[in-house]
Amino acid sequence: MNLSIFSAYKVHKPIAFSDIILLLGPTVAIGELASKFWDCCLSLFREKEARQPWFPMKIGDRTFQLVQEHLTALGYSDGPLGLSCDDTKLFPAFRMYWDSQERTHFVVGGIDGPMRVANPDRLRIMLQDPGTAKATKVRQCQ
Amino acid sequence: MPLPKVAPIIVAALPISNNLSAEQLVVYTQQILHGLFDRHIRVVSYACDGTETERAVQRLLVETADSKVTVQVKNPRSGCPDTEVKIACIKGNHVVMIQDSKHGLKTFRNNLFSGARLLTFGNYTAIYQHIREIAFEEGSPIYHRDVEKLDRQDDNAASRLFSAATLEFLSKNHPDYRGEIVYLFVFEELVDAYQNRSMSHTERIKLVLRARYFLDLWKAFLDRTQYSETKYFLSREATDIARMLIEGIIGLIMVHHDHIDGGFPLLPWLHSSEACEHVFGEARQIVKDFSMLDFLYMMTKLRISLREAVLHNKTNNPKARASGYSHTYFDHQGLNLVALATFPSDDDIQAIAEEAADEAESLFALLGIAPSQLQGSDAVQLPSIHTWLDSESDRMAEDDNNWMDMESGNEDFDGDACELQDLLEQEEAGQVSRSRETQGRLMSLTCAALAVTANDMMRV
Repeated sequence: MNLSIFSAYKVHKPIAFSDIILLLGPTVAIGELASKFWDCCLSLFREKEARQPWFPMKIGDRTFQLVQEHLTALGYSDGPLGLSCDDTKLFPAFRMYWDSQERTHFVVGGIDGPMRVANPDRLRIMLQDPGTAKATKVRQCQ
Repeated sequence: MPLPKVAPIIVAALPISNNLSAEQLVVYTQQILHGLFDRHIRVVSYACDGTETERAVQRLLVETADSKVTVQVKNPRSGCPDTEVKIACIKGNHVVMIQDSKHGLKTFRNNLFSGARLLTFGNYTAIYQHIREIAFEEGSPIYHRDVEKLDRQDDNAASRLFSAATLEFLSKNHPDYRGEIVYLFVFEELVDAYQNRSMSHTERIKLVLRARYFLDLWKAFLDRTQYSETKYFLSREATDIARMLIEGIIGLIMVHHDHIDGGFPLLPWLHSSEACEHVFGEARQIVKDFSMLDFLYMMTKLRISLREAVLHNKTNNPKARASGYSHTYFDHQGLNLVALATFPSDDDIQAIAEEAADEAESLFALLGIAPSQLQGSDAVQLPSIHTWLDSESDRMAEDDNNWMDMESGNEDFDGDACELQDLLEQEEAGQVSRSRETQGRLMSLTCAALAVTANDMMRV
């Protein structure tokens, strides 16, 4: 059953839920209503996630600030927590990205963290430097 | 995040090289722990899987802690070693070292299936052949694929093997397979102490102490009969993991009881590295061979996936075969928060220890050995749990457990992209003249590689 049946009724005139049950049958009506609510929740999540701050590339003050803000939002500032770590293989590659805050390009994928790129020549030197090693694993903490 | 219906928080992701030692890795962990403690975030556990390096990181964290608190559970049998749990105290916070219980279960399964040892207790043994036999019998809860061409990382297969259904099947159809029955029972219960959603903490302590006393009796039996532990006991790695599982749950309960106010429940199954593996699994579904920048760009999608899994309670198909990891940490069916927020007193624990020792002795008696024979006046004294680890170098055990260290390479990652990249780099470096047809083919492959990379970037 198409969801448009709900919006159609909403547009023209309000309709009691009992009428919808009468039209669709109780099982289908409840199912459609549940999925409608779920779609709303999902789009809300996506809107919120789109406004989430950029994930920090290094361990720094911002790393912990984000965790603290998350816990405060949950109302769980003083409860016990567990930390866990694991690693997995990575496709070893240098990739460049534009940092809009720093207004400069960075190369990511080396074991020393993000490297600032001043100009194309500098990038060429960096990539040819045998001391610049690509990361082969990512270690994640939760 | 040890709370039901709350998605884990991804704290940090760092690019590292393949060959970092435990000494180098522990620096990152300390940096994260110190940063969290400076913000008054109360971390009470540090969990990881059972690889040699990860366990070494945990050992170093305890050794380099500001101070250590030792919790002791007295052994009810005189002359037998007590259970001692060392808890790291960092910046005034107590941190318990935890082994991932589902990894532990797979380790116990792999020890049972190993041809390098013959698990021997009393008049019985626990062997792969018997498990293979029952897999082919009618009505068996174990699938053929669980015993043939087996996937050593298969969570579902390990759960099926160490399940009440398998125990029931064995006890009904093969009551003479007592070695397997007791082995499966003891270690299933040890992992259940972490995974059970409704059990009281008192019961959890009993299960882990029973495993501890059973292992003590097993070790004493081998010492008395002068059987080699290398061949007839658990591997060195499995022994260490068992010790950490036993001590971990006691440590967590003690820290919640003694150092945490506010009646927070303890949900031990959430103190694991399962959430980390879940993130990696979700990331590989978006881009199979992801680079560091892909992973960072993916973070928003990964957070949504985690929340979706937690809110929807999306567990994998438990009947799946050879399917590797199966994440269940967000499954909270049967949750009993009142029981999980009630902690036993020291006196209760001592009473439980007595019960656990009695049960371990009953289990050993079932295997044909009267515990009094091991503890008599002319018997050797039961060895300390620490001596399990000081035995002679166990080469076979190491070979047998190499699968654990290789585990990160088995996460559905066959390195196709790496291989293609290497070939392209070799091609660029080489100055070999080729036919027009070969050059055309190479150009097509290069374009294909670029198209795959562009596709991955679009998916992120």
